[in-house]
Amino acid sequence: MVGIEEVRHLAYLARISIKDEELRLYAEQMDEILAYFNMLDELNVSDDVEPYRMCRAYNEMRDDVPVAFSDNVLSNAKNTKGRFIKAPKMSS
Amino acid sequence: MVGTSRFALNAYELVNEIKNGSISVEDYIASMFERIRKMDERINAYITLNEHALEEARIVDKALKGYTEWKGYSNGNGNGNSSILLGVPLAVKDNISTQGIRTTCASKMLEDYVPVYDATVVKRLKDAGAIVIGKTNMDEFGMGSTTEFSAFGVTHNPWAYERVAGGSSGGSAAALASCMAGIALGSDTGGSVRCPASFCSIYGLKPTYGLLSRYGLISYANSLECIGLMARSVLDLALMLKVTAGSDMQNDHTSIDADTSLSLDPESISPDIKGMRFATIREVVESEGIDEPVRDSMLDAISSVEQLGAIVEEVSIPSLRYALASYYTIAMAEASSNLARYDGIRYGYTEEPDGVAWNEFYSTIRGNFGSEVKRRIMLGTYVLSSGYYGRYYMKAQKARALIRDDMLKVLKDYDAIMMPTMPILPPRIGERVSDPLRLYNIDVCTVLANLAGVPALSIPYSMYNGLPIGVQFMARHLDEPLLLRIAYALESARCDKVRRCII
Repeated sequence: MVGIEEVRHLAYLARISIKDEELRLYAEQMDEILAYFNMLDELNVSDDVEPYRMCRAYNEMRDDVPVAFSDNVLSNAKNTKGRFIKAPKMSS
Repeated sequence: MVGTSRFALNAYELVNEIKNGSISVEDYIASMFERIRKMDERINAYITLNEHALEEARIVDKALKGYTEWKGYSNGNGNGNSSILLGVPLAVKDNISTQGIRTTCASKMLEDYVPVYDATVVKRLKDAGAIVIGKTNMDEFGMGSTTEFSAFGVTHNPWAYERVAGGSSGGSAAALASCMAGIALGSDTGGSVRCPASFCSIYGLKPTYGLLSRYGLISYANSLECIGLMARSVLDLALMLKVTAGSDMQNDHTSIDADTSLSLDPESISPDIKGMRFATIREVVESEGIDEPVRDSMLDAISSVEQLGAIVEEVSIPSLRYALASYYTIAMAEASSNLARYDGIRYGYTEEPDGVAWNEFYSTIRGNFGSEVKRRIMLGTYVLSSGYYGRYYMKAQKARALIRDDMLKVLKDYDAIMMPTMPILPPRIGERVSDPLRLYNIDVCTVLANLAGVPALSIPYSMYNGLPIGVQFMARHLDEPLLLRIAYALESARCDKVRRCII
């Protein structure tokens, strides 16, 4: 089941840093929760049962009207330089 | 009117006092702030107060004196609702966007985030005259049932300070129960409006999925979550629903056009439930997880509605056994995808990006989520990963389809399904927080409505040793008027037995 190495891998996939000393507790808790979820596996449903889909979904289209770029959009960005947003380097 | 009792007025009573000139909105809001400053140190219902509330109160007062015409704050989207909540202090859960007021989701990740627009429901309530008084405490991103997973401290239950107020909309419920707001907004993904409503002895409505626009609600699990309404009286709920329900071009694919199908006039709500048929569910009634006082209260509620002329029968829905596993699998999967947006670039918590590699930057920033959020994101990542997708996520979606079909079958034969809102009394602070699975278990009665998309209402029903107990009804899609009728019947029949606030 879920061990320390698996939690480390999941944390990497989700891009969440986790302290080494927390790994064991997360592993225990996640293992217990997944063991509970395992009851889904015993659920015997035929392939014709459609998985849940949202009901009453419909699309209402509105006109595509271009509007001017507003400074508001950037008001919560903190790492800015002039009219640019600073981000970490993507290539090494 | 003088004294503290005016804070306990229901919203529809307060609006009358304001309109006939007995109460000035500015005075009322100012003294409400005073009350909050005095009381909230112990309760911790609010994360942020609205600095502009007094200015807004003055705008309302001016309109009342006839100096200006009331058109709402945002150029009047009247809809005939233009003043039905005039001057009512509104508490807004901190995951619902408010223009110019910090909206944190009770998370360090958003501790200084200020939205540049109002959520549609907030805008509609403001246009009807409500005044946002502040933003309320919650479990981080709505993930929890006790408001203990907040980066801003736990909210205390106004009826018993050493106990939780419920969650995740705990601040909104506690603010209402302690008369620090007139009406409140919450959000309900698996019971987050109904749980704290039940623990705090107020009303909490999770509407039909899609009836209220989710525009401006910060996402956690889109296929389950709804903005919910909280109040101290049934008529207040009806007023709020009338103002907020209906389609929204900003959130078109989930909003149902209610204008034609729903009769939401508060005056038309009758307290008559004679001949209505309610179903109780054997799997819930017989569940070992239900506390004795809750079971007793439920039995008493059954005899109350029978005395009012309703017929109650027991049915069995075996698929409900899978409800919690289905709910949590889907909620975590959607959370892991929704919360990928917190990257420290455009908004929210960040650090200096110079000289840091992308992956390291992204992981470090996201290390600031709280423990429950991290747990759910990682579990969501797990159930969606290629080896496990069929075993967990697809099975959960199929279980959800079965549960919805089974519930709708019961709702063909019965007007509503009746059950406790919460299986337990409000726990003591710290009692359950360290054991996630045990905490998830207390959502067993509430998640059903979210899985099926049907409306559900928690009604304050009784007290046990000073602790509130609620009863919950679920109805067919768009049958909110029926839920309001049931609640009104119980409110009228039990007005001398149930207190909905503590002064």
